[in-house]
Amino acid sequence: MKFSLDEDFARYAVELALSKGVDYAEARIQNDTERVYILKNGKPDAMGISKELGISIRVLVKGSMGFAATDDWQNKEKIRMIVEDAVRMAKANRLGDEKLSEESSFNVSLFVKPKIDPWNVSMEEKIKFLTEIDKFLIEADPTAKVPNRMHYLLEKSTEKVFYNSEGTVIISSIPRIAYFSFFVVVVNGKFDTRFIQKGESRGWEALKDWNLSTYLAGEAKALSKLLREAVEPPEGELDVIIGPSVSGLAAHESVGHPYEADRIWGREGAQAGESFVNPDMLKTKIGSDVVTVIDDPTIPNSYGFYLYDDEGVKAKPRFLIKEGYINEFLHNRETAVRFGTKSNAAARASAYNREPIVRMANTYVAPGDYTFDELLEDIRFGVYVKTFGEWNIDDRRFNMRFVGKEAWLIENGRLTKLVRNPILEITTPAYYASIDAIDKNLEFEAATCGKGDPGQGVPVWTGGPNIRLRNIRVLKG
Amino acid sequence: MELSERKNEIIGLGEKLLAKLLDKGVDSVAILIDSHISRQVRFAVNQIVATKTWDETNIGVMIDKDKKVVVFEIGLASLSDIDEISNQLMMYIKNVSPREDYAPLPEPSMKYPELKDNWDENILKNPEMHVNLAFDVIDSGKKAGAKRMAGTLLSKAMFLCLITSNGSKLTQESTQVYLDVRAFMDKESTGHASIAGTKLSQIDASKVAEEAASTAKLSQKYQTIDPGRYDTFFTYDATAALLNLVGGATSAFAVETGQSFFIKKLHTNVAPEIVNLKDDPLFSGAYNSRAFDDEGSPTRANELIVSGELKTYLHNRFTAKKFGSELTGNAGWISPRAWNLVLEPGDQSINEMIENIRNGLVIHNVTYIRFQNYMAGDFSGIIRDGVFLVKNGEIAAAVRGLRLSDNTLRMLSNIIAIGKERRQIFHWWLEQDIPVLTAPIIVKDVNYTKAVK
Repeated sequence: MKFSLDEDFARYAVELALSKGVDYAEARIQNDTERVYILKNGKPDAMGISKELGISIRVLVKGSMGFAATDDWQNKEKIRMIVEDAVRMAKANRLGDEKLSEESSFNVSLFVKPKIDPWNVSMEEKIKFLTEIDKFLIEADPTAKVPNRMHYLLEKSTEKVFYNSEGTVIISSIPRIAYFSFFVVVVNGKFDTRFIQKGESRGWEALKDWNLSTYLAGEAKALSKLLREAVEPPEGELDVIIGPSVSGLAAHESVGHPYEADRIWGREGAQAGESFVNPDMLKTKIGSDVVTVIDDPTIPNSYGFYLYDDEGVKAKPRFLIKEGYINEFLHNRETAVRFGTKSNAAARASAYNREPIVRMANTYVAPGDYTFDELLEDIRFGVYVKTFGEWNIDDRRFNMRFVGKEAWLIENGRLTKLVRNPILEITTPAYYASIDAIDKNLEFEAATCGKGDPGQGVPVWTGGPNIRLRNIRVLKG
Repeated sequence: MELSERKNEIIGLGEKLLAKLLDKGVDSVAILIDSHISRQVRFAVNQIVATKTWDETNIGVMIDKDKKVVVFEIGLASLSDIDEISNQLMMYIKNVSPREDYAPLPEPSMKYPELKDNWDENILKNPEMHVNLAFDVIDSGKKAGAKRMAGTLLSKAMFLCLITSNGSKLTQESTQVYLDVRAFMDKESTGHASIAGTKLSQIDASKVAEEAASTAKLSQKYQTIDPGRYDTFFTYDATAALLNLVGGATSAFAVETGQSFFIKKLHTNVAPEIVNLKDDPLFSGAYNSRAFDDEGSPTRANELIVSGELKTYLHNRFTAKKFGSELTGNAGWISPRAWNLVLEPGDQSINEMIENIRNGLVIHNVTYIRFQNYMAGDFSGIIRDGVFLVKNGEIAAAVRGLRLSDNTLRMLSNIIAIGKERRQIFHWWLEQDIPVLTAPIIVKDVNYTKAVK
């Protein structure tokens, strides 16, 4: 697709704001165009196209932040109105004390080009693709039925122009492709459900690598086997192995979120919540020596990929936990000032009409040097939680619970029986302190991370290897 | 920024767009235009951290051709893309087979309901009033003893226009506003309260702030209790969160796709006789007031649960065809949904309700609700912002660390009391984004779990 935005309108907005006496101004023109194809119970449902395109302005006036947005981005009269409104509202807030950290200025263009542009793939091929994987799903296990099936194929292009009053101009274009599915498996009147998500910053070529037919068939078979064979899980203090999809989600929810500096300071108090982490916990021990957790927006092809954030700061990997120590928080320019540091480029806005706030990108537990068999062989009696169903965590990110979906009993170093819905309910420090070994099998999953008000869903990867935890309380479902 | 000045322009735009798309040889077209000015004041740590304004016009288009359906949504500035987008969609239509559940757009009705008490000029005329309400919350909360106040005031003034090729030309104007407040004594001693309506004057900032602050203060002295089953009083906010799950499960789309715990439950008792729940976008001051749905059917109050019996699912034209049901006026283009849930009040005051609890809990807020199995209704949720142990009808202490882990159908059937006072609740973390006019409820034997380390 040809880049469609014109930076002149962003420049106009910023210059206009400066003429109103603001201390800082930035404008972002953003175009999120997406197409979604839905296959419902084997039949193509309504196809959807959406184009969210517009401009936002953010101004800082004597410590007060004002934000305004319009979709009418090429209309200078409308731009004037939103600039004036942002300034008026910011001035009405007479008690603000916001500042922005000093950062380098950049003038760069970044265009990520897909190998195969989904826009150039025929509709016929896309429908055929979804129909084929649906067939694999329903034929995976002849002893099971899969009566309810939703498949979503999403292709998205995000174009941005960022322009601020300090001389930074970032022009970028990033493609994304994603697949979601939800299905119900029924065996002998018993049923269970599964949700799957994949996503990358690539083009159509990513779909082949995901090998969805085999993957979905495997998941349906696993659910069917679970319904037929699973026994009650053991209860008590047990050794547990957590699979990559679970360790990745835990890293996102119990490390990434509580290390967001806006939560630590309290800015998200009424929405996403605060954090159990205090500023003075930096450089203190939170996990065992084998635990390192990284958030890295720069991983090529990742779903959360970017090289400059939505405040124009250059991205880099953030080592949130390093060998068991809290090492770094996630910052934008607002929180960096409050914490006396520099931004580490964690500001993201999900659309033109959203303010940039502190977000994760691709959060993962660094792999260790064990093999999966080596993790297993030291466990006499325990549980392997390969995938999860239900998951939640309190708003301080201290007390988490997850319920296993595919889970196995471990006996004498071997996976022996499937177990039904083992529950792990544990505090974050206890979880990370209990990890004694990590294997080499780092895997990533795509997710849409929610935060903010109005809500901002941003694409992220969660990642992790298999990890072993000692003496964890397991409950029956 | 005068919204009223745009009306004729928007209707004209819709009509032109309709004619243009009909020229492409499609069977029918529906165009839904939402033009709004919205304002938000966000505050945290006793200060306003951002003010926001949105001035946007979103245009949704649904096209039918040969019993196939496509939809798209664009902003005002993207109208020049209409040809390209509609060509892409026509290509899609060529490649798919007709929908088995196809039904044409409903014919326009002779009569549409009137909306009452759903417009407040102050939302447009007085942006500073939003900021001042936020200051009122912060000041009132601090005066009531809270250490830190945080929250959101969000308002929206909207002009909505639906034009269809079979003759609907429907418009409505409405305003919405909600205030959502959280008070902190420390990180774990918190309180929450919220209120929603259609006018800024309905937002009693001081009352909401004081409620949140007093709950936060009461949360400081806590004791540890065992996990297990407790009779539980759920406040307005907590009940609204739970009823959102019920509202979402009544969508026939959720039923069809296995994402509802009401599958095969129609015309069965899902709750005791005291429970009467309807979806009603027409009551005076309804936050999400609507006179017509996205397909042009008139809206109405739909009785969802009557004396405990599940009476209907909510439909759009496709689900109504599939289920052999009449239209209910709840169409979204992909999925039908509830507009505004209303729980019929009971006859007990809050004090009377709590006095009747021997050994139970009071819960002010339920968030982060996740299902293990949608069809079975097994879920857990975070309880916060005021969780109290009740002993012999009196609040004994705050409790911490418990998690609500139960089943929606079991909880519905265990409702034993409904309060007589109601409040309209809407805020961003309601799981299905459905505003609820609700009373507090008591549910017996609710299950709670707890982390042990």
